[in-house]
Amino acid sequence: VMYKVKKCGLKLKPPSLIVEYEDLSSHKQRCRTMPIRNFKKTSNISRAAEELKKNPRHQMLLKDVSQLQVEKMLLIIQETLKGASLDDAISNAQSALTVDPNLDLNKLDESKVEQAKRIMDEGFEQNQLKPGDEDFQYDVEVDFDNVGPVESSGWDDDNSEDNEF
Amino acid sequence: LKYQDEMSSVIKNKSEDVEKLKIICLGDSAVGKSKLVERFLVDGYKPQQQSTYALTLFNYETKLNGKKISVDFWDTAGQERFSSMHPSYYHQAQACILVFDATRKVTYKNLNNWYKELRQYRPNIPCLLVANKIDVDLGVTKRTFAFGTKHNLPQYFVSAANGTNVVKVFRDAIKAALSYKQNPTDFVDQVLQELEHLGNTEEDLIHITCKTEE
Ligand SMILES: Nc1nc2c(ncn2[C@@H]2O[C@H](COP(=O)(O)OP(=O)(O)O)[C@@H](O)[C@H]2O)c(=O)[nH]1
Ligand SMILES: [Mg+2]
Repeated sequence: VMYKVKKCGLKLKPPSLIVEYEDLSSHKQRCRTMPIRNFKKTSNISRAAEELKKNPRHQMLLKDVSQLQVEKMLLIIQETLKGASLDDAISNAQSALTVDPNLDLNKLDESKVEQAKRIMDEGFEQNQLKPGDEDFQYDVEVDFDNVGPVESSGWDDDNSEDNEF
Repeated sequence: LKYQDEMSSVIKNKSEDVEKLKIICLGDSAVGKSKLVERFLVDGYKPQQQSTYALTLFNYETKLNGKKISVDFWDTAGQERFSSMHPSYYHQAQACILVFDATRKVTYKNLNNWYKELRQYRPNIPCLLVANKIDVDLGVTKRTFAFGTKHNLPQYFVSAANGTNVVKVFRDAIKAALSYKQNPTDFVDQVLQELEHLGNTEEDLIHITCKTEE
């Protein structure tokens, strides 16, 4: 049986992940609730997400949901367990799973760099064209030199340096 | 007899006529250096992990003007986190692909340090400047970045994700490395080239380099 995952969401009580999907053999829309057992304020998010993804009952749906997406849902639930409002929980989770573009990754330890790369991998995979994809071409040349007016990047304005931090 | 053996091995090397090149990738953590090399080589090529030197080396063979070329692409294995590379990384490189992340200003600002370090070890090798991740915001291709102009570096707008201009950068780097090797301007390189014409072994070459660097 084939499934097509449509949406991924969450329920706070009891803490659960919700996946909306289409059963491709019957063309029926379905909804799966996946309770997250023993989930606490202190639970390790990435481990909990891994366990959920490995769960044999949910595997066939969660293989199409990225680890990061699952982590984000779990992080929102965990923030609310810690007492945050849902709005705050969502924005906290959002910023925890975004790479601050001003961060100098050279100055972070290896695990932080790894985490930042996992987050960046999401964007990479979304835009990736790889061998086998219909639009894949090995050599893609685009000349940007004569594509209309240009403006300064603003990244060379050295006076702004001090005000930034 | 020994002399004859040596001569025949020199002649054999000559007839194979393989030009060896070393091209290094440089830039901050997570700008996409490894993804760029991967994209250029697509799969097909397995990295030779050299863990002792904390680097990854990819060999790539091609032909240019009928000449066989064997390129070693050097990629870092995380050492860039210390904002500096080991001198052996730069040693005898004939071209450099210097990368920043077009979505993160700090990686552009840090180009200065990388470029300074590069020039300390390799004053004259060709350096190609890459603005990577243009797939995130194509708008960057309409913006100017003064660093490349200031140092007179060819600049490329690239995406390792969708492939834009990746192959072009690497091919240009190979061409630049080859012409540098055939017409070097660093003193040490000239010495090396002389020695290569004489058919000395790799070991001798390294020995000589160490001496002149004192
Ligand atoms: N969107 C996008 N992401 C990229 C691109 N190139 C690399 N990345 C992402 O940036 C992160 C760092 O890439 P990596 O090759 O490991 O960088 P390195 O540390 O310089 O070798 C990874 O998460 C990649 O998925 C690109 O062209 N576009
Ligand atoms: Mg890397």
